[in-house]
Amino acid sequence: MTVAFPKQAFPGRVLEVTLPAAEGGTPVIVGGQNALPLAPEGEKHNPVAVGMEVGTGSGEIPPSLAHALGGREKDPVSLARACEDEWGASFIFLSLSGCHPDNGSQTVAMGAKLARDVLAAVRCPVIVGGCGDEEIDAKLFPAVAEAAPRPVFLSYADEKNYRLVGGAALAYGHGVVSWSPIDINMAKQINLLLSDIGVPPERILIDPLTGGLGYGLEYTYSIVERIRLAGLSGDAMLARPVLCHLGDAWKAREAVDASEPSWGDPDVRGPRWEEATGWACLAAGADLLVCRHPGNAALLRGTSWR
Amino acid sequence: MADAPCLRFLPEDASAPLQAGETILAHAVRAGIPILSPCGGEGRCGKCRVTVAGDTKGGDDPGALSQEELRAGVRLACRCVPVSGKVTVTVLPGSRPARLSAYIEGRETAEDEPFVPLHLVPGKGSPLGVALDLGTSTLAGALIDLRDGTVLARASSDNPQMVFGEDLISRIVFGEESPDGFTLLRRLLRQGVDKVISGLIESSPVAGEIVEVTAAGNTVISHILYGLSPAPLRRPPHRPVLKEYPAKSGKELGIASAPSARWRIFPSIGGFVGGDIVAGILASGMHREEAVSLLFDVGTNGEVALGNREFRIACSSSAGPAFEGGEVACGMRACAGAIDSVRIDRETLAAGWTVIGGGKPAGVCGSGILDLCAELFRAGLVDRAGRFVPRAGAPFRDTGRGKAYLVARADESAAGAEIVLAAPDLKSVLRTKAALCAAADALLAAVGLYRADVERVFIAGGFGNFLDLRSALTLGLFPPFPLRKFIPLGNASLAGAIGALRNRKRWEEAAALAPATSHHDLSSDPDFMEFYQRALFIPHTDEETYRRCLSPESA
Repeated sequence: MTVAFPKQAFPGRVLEVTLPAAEGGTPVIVGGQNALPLAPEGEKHNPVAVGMEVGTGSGEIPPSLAHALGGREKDPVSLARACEDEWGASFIFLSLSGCHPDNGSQTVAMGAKLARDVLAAVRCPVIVGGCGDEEIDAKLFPAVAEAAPRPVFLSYADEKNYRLVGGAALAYGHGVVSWSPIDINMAKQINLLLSDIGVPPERILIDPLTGGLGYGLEYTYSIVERIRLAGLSGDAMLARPVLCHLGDAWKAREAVDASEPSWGDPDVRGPRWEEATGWACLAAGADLLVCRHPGNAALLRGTSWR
Repeated sequence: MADAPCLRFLPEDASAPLQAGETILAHAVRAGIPILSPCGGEGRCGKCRVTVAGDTKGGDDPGALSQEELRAGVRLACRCVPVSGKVTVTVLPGSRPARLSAYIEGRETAEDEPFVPLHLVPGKGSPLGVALDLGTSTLAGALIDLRDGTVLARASSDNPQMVFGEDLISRIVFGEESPDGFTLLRRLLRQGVDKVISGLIESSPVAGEIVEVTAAGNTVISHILYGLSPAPLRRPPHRPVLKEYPAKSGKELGIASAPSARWRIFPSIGGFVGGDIVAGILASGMHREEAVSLLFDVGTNGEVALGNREFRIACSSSAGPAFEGGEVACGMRACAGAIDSVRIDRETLAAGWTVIGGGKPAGVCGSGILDLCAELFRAGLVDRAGRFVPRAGAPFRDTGRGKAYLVARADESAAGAEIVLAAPDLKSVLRTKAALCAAADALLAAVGLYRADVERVFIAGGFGNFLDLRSALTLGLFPPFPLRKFIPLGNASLAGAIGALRNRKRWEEAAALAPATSHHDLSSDPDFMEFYQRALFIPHTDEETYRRCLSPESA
C-alpha cells in the first residue's frame, strides 16, 4: 500500500521581480514560487540568483579575499567585468563604500561616475548600494539615480530615508531594496511606506539584514523563514523576493583571523564561512545572494534546492 | 531686622519661609500651592513654569524655555532655587492644575438592579454613602442617599500627589527616596479625598451623615490610602502587599471628612491593576455575560481587561499619559480652554478646532490630540511611521524640539504663544497607542482567543466619552473592531463604586471578581514586544484589518 505524501498548498505566491540587464545581457528573474525551499511541492520556476559585491572603498579587505580577487579589488570596473565574465555572477552589487569619510571620501560626483562606468562595463543587472553615511547617501542616491544609463536597484531604503530613495527610484525608473534590522514587522512597515509613496511592488526587494555565521545568522534565518511564510500565507507586503548580503560573514574573526593556526588555512576558512552563511540563507528561503568570494558565486549558483 | 527671607506665591498670595537649597517646587508643596509637575520634579517635562522676581538661580534650561520666556523671568519651579531675600513667584496659568467636570459622569450597563443598600443605620438625618474613584490624576466622587439610592451630588478634584509625578512609578520613587515620602503622599491623598467629600456635602440638597464609603483606585493609590508601602510593586514580581483591604472606619484611615463611615476599598487584581478595574468590570457587566468583552481604561496608565462570566484576565499597559495632558508639550487635561476636536483643511492644510467652553485655546486635550494625529495622517502630513511629511503650504515650524505642526497661531491662543505638535510629541502618542493596542493583543494571545471572538469593547475613562472612534481606529489606538462593537462607559470605576453602594450584591460580586480575575504581567510576556512593534505604526502593521473596520459597511 502506498501512502501519499501530504502536500502543503499556500494561498499566496511570491511576486516575480525582474532585475533588468543591458542589451545583450541576461536579466535576473526571481520570485514567483508558491512553496518553501527544500519542500517537494509547489512551483519554483526561477532559480536563486547569486551576484557579487564590487566595492569602491580604499579600506583593507581580508587577505584571503584579496588573493582570490587577484588584485582587481582596486579597480571597480575591471573587478565588475571579471565578476560577470570569469566568475559567473548573475548580477553585480556595486557598493559605493568609497564615498564614506572613513573609506576614501570620494565625492558624490565621483560615486555617480563610478556607477555609470560599471554600468557601461557589464551587461548583467546591477544593484547600487550607498556608503552608509546618512547625509552623504541623501545626495548620493539621487545622483546615482540620475547618472545611471539603465534601470538599477538602489540599496537601500529604510524608515528614515525611504522618501528620498523611493522618490529617486520613481523619478528615474529604478527599483528599491527595502531594508529592516532583522524584524519581520519592520520589514512589512518599510514596504508599506514604499507602497504609500507609489513604488510599484514589482520593483522592490527585501533585505532583512544578514548576520554572518556565528554573528546573528540564526536570527536572520528565522526572520527570512517568517517573511516567506507570511508572504505565502497571503500577506502581499511580504510576498517579495528576499536578498541576503553575505558580506557580514567576512567580519567574523573565525573567517579571517590568521593568528589561530589550529583553525586551519584562512584562505580556505574565509570562503567556507561565507558559503555556510549562504547555504543557510538559501534554506531559509532567500532568492538573491550577494557574495564576495569568486568561488562562492559558482558554488551557490543554480542550486538544486529550489 | 529686615524681613526674613521668604517666598511669596501669586496669585494665592501665600508666603513660605525660605529654606536654603530647596527648589521653588519644594517650597510650593510645603505651602500647599498647586503646581503641575508631571515628571515629578525631574526637570524633564517643562510644565512647572513660574515667573520669578528676586534673587534665584537655576531653572533656566534653554531646552525647555525659549529666549523670550527666559527674558520675561520664566523659570522651571523644579529646578529654580531661591537664594536670598524676598522672592515673588507667580504660577503661570498653564502650570496650575485644572479642574475637571467631564470626568465625573459614568455609565453602568446594568442599572435596573433592585435597590439593596450595604446597610442602613437609623439615626439622625439621612444615611449617606460616598462612592469614590481615586485616579492617578483625578479624584472623583458621588454622594448617594442610602434610603433610595439617588445620586445627590458629584464632585471631583485633582489628585494632589500630582506634584510628585504624573505617573505612579515617579511617586513610588519619591516615596522610597525621601524621608517620610509615603507619609507625605498619604497626607496629600487624604487632603484630596477630604476636598472631594466636603465638596459633595456642600452641594448636597439633603443633610445627613456619611455612613458608607466605597473607594476604587489602582493598587498604588489603594496601598497608600490603606497605609501600606506600594514599593514592592515597582520591582519584579510586582506583587502588592495586600490585594484585599478589610473595611476600616474613616477614623482608622485618618480621613477627617467621613470619620465614622465604614470604608470599603475595592480589592486589587495584581500588579498595578487595582480596584478601579474591578469597579470598571462591575460597571460594564462583562462578568455576567456569556459574550467575551474587552475593557479599555484609557487613563494615565492604561489598563485592559478581557473576559466574560467564566474567566477574566487583566493587565496594565504602561501606556503613558499622552492622552491625559502628559508627555505631549501642548497637551492638557480636558477642561475649559482645551482643544477637544481638530479637523485639518485638505486645501490649506491648516487646523480648525473646537475649544471646551469656547474662547481661546490654551492647549490640546486627549480627544483633540487623537483627532489631531489622525487628521495629520489622513491629510498626508504624517506617514505611517509617525514622521512628518514635508508638503508645500503646510504650516510646519522648526522648533527647538524639531519639526512641528502649527495648531494655533500665537494671536489665536490663550497664552499668546504658538500651540504646536512637535515630532517627539507625535512619537510619544505613537508609543502610547502602541502599548494600549499591544496590551489587548497580548491578552487575547494569552488566552488563545482571536479578535473576532470579542463581541463588545468597553472604553472607560473620561477620555473614552469624547474620543472620535474613527480617529481612534485611523490611528490604531485600539485593535481593529467594527465601530458598532464599541461602547463608551465614561468614568466606569466611579459608576462601579456607586453600583456597589446601591446594591449589596454588587459589592459581593466585586469581592468575588477580583480573585477570580488573573493578572497578566506584560513585562514578563515574551510576545509583548512583538505586538508592540507591530502596533508602532499607523494604524498598524496589520493594516488590512483596520481598513475593513473603517469601511462604511461594517460601521
